[in-house]
Amino acid sequence: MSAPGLQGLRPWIIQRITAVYIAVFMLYFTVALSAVRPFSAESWSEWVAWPGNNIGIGMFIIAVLWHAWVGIRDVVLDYVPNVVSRMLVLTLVATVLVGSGFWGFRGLVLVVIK
Amino acid sequence: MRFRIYRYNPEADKKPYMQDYELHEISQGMMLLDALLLIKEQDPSLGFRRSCREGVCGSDGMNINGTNGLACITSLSDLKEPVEIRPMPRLPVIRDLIVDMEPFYKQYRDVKPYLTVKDPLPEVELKQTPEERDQLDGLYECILCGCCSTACPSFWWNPDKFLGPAALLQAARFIGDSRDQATAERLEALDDPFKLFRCHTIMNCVQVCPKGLNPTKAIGDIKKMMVKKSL
Repeated sequence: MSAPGLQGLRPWIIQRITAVYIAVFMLYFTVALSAVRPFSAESWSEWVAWPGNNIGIGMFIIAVLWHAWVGIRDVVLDYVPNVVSRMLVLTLVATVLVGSGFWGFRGLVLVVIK
Repeated sequence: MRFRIYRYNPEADKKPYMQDYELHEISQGMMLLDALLLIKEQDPSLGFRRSCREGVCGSDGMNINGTNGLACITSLSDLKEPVEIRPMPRLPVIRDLIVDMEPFYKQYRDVKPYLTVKDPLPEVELKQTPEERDQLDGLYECILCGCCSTACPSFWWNPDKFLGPAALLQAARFIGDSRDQATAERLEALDDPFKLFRCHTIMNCVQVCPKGLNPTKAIGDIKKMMVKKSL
């Protein structure tokens, strides 16, 4: 294997599955944008706190981060030939994405427990 | 007609340079290879490969006005002046327009471009139905000129790891062959972040293939077969 720890088919499938989920959820969110009234922080907090939406947004966060990971990983594999530099860049990207995920989930939890 | 041709002799030149030539004896229907042969009469030091002169051997692949193609089937009337001719990109230059095809052939050898049969061989030939034979159309006609792989940015960035469109077309040719008995092994060998999945479907390979083949579709078909196998 030319890149230990990195795979070929699995990320390719994940990228497509997450793309479909992201597209479907964005459509749902666009509909919600026009349906949730009044257009206020309180009503949006309620919308996000509803378990179905909360889980849906949680899955959306995971899908976006996973999709972004595969996309950025592809760019890095293309343009960073040095193995050490590549691993450093990928570690940095993974750290930022995981950190963003925690930040997103923290927001979801706070909306529910407030 | 004016020409600008890449010149480099590693034994004599410090770095490559472009040399201008002019031809006055251009007649209708002339191909670029005909012009190169006339230029070579002017300057015998110009190096380029050629053989069949009819788009079959694939020897005279080169970069013509920024696009890879075979000089022997490129009509001069279709080219803007000055015609800028360079060696195919990303392969080591041996001299002038002659490139070292070894990295390209290595990728070709890596896909094991031959039938693998595990059962005892029959007394007669391995037979196919006409429908099974039809599956190979668009795959077996490759002449290994290298125009597609050297037009592919993924091959430029990772020429030692990404197999390139030509080798992947051959992989698809043997994966799709009803007589081959190593399909699973072939698909498994390609399940790697570099060998196949550096293809981002930009279709430069399709644009430049002098035989009108579609390596991008072949790569897509391999991915579909990998997904089917994994389910």
